[in-house]
Amino acid sequence: MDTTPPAGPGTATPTRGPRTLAGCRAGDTVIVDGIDLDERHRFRLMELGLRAGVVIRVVQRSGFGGRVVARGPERIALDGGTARAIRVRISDDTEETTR
Amino acid sequence: MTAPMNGLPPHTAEHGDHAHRRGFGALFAGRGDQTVRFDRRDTDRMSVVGRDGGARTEATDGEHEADALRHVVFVGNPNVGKSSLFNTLLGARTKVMNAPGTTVLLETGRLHYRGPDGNGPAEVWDCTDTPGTYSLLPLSPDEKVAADAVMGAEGLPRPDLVVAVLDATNIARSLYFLAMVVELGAPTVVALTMNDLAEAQGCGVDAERLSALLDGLPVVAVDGRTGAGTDRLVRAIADGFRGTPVPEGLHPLTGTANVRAWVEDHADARFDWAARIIRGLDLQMRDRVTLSDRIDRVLLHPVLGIVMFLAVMYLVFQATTTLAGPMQDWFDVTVRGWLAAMVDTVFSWFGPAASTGWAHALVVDGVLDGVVTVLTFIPPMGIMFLLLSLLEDSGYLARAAFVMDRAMRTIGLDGRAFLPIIVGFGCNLPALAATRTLPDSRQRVLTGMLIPFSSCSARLSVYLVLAYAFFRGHAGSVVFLMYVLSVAVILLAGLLLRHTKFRGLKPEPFAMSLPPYQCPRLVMLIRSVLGRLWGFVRGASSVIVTMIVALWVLQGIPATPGAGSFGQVEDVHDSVYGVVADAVAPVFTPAGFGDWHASAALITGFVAKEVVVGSMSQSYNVAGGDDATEQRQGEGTLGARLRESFDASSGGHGRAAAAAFLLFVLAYTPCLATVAELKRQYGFRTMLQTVGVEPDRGLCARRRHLSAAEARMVSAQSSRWRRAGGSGTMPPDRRHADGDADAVTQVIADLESGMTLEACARHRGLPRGFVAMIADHARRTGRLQVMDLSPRAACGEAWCNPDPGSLICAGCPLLPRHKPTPQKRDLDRDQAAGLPHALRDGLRVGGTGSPHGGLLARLRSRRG
Repeated sequence: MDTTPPAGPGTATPTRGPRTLAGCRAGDTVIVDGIDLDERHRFRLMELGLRAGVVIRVVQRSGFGGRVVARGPERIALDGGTARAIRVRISDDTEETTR
Repeated sequence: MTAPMNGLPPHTAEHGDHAHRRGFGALFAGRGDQTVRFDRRDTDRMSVVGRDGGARTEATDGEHEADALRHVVFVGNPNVGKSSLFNTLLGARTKVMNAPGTTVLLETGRLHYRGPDGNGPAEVWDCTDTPGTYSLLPLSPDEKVAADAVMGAEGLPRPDLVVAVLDATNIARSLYFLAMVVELGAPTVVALTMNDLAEAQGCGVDAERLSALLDGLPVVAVDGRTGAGTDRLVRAIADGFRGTPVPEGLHPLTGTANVRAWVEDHADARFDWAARIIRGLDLQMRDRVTLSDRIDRVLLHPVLGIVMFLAVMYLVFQATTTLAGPMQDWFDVTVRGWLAAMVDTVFSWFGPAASTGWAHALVVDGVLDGVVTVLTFIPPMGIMFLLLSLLEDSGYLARAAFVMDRAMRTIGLDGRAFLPIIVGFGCNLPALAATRTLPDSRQRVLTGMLIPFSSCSARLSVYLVLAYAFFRGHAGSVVFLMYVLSVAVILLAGLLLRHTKFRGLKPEPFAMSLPPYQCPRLVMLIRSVLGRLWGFVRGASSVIVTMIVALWVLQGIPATPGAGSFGQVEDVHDSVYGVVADAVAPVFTPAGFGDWHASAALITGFVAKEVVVGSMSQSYNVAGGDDATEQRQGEGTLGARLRESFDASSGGHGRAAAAAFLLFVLAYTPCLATVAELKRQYGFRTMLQTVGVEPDRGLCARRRHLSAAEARMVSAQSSRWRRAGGSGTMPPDRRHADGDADAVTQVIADLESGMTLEACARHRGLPRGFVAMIADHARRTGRLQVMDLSPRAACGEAWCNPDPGSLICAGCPLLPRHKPTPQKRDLDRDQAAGLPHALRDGLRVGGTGSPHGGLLARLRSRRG
């Protein structure tokens, strides 16, 4: 479980270790570093647009670590386990990418 | 071309009849809606054949022109408005859900096109609506169906044209999907939906500009909810049969390729291509807080979200109880009076005697009572369907699945399993069909076994009558409590199954695209509700009327001397019906409702839960007459009779007996149609286990379902081995380094590759009995997975027919392969000591095995 103190909305807070999406607060803009799921589900998340290097914004915290993330106008709901499997880092640049 | 109506193209449409049968007929239903058994390994084996279309997709061939029947497949991501568009085009009564993956069946319909002016020769387009999918590499059965449909695999016709439905609000993901579709080589037309939402979000897509960027690939902006743009889409489809361009940067598939490799290897290139197109569109894809985000702050809040969910559920079911009552009264009193007067008038034409004969009683007390009973179900069903449609179309149901994800995980399911279960609160049958949205076969079976615990609308009538009869003033709360209990039973049963039959079931990661909230369109809402309501009436009426007429007949047959003549039995207790009900009633005495009226109603409730109240009312009517209005409310004669009966049968604890009766109705066997659907979807054994007739022997036994593809593979292997005389060549990917392997490993490898015991013995130059002992040893030590071929094993009742002369099933390559246990080169002392036991209980060769065990003996018994 990530023990990094949550950052404020939209702020770039230095992290002390690996950070997952589950540790992000609503409003955080982060960059996907990697996804620690099996190959099939990692590929499916990639098809959904969650690929390494993509900038996403946490829209909503839900119960049990679930997160809703925004990639542009798209909204993707992720359960807590999946959110914990997505490694992220705080984005220094909040500009949206369409990679 | 005739004048368009409401913006729709001048065509007529037919749609397939997907109505399910109910009653006894359901047991003999055909396999039109075949369950797609799915295994992840299917995707590894999937292959796709390209069309070698070059820079332009392959045009329609002469064969299709000759029969003037063209196959058009609609494909797209979930929640892009595909079903709405299909409905608008064809008038097919497909279910329109606003949650991902709810298009469960392949809906088909025929569209008659007569050219742009409407005067040309008729062209018949065989259109297919596929389940939503994010990829052609499927993770679930419905996605596999979609992939098969667009590829023309698994017996589905190869499409002459594909309509790729793209979501303008999710253009990046849509373009990635389009790339795969185009690369298949079929002519493709793009239907761009959700344009109004995209405009509102500031990321609207210009269809003409997109078409230009796609090098002329037809792109038509459409709105399936209003019909806007469908004219142009139909014309684009007609033109598209001649072939459509392949956008630069995409490479049509040539030859045959493995689907997984084809999808995965070119994913980056497709994303890059999509990014280039998006850059060309110059979209302002700014990430901003939308109205949906603001709403989700409440509805998806960790605490408030669950509170809101429960509140919504409470409102739904309060509406079905409090709003439906007066309308039910109107049907029960006014309509019944009108119909009875009409019947009396007709019979009066034949003289006074006709109005007192058994034929009159049959029509009034049998047929008419059944019809009115059906009519009284319309208000609560209509309200429920209306509210469900509102939830679906507004986008909340997708959120509800997310909110409930954690709760579903406790029983091994993900949030998507909530959707079929909540649909089950309307009717169990569509809920069972909706289980195919789940990506794991075990999750589908588990969900299917839980769905009968969802209190369907038919049970609502029983709850209402009992609640009003025994808990007047708190009827709404009692009914709500029944639904809460239903959820509790589902969770408990799920936990039990999770830790027994489905031990080891791991939920799939939950990743779902959330659609923006939308205001449901009235026309689509009414169409959806009417369609569902008609389906209910059509499906339920035959069963209800038939059963009530049958009950009347049973009540009309005298069973005791002096009871009267046919149709003139004074006391129903003296009829055949009363005798049967009396015989069953003692079973329910411990629960306090050992009353023959209740037992008779429960018996008929197995056929259809809708009949329970009708059966009660009819039996009480015959006994002493009743007022129909107060039957529904439970506050009149029926309620009084129920209170009298339950008080008498429970020793004065009528309320407790009523509560027990309500619980029994909640949990006892589902209706006959649901039972038939369970058998059709999951097999005979699962059906029995769900109903509770057969104890779950699967707790300790290995059981597997074979997919059609698996069965074909086994069959093909079996045939190949037979043709080769049982000495075929081991597949290269499974070949073992014989030089480094011991005898056990070699025999295992041979059996796994499909050899028979005899073939293996010949191949290895070993005694056949010794090979059999090795096989049994390997089986007992876990190195060789042997299928359970006991009677009614899944493989035997599905598509795979075990070959009695071969051990191909014993070494079934479909079984999960485990890494060999630490190598034991030779049989140790204990194992050697166990050999006689193995000979007694395990494999036998030459028919000398015990009739109580032995794989071959069981195989032979199956052949016999």
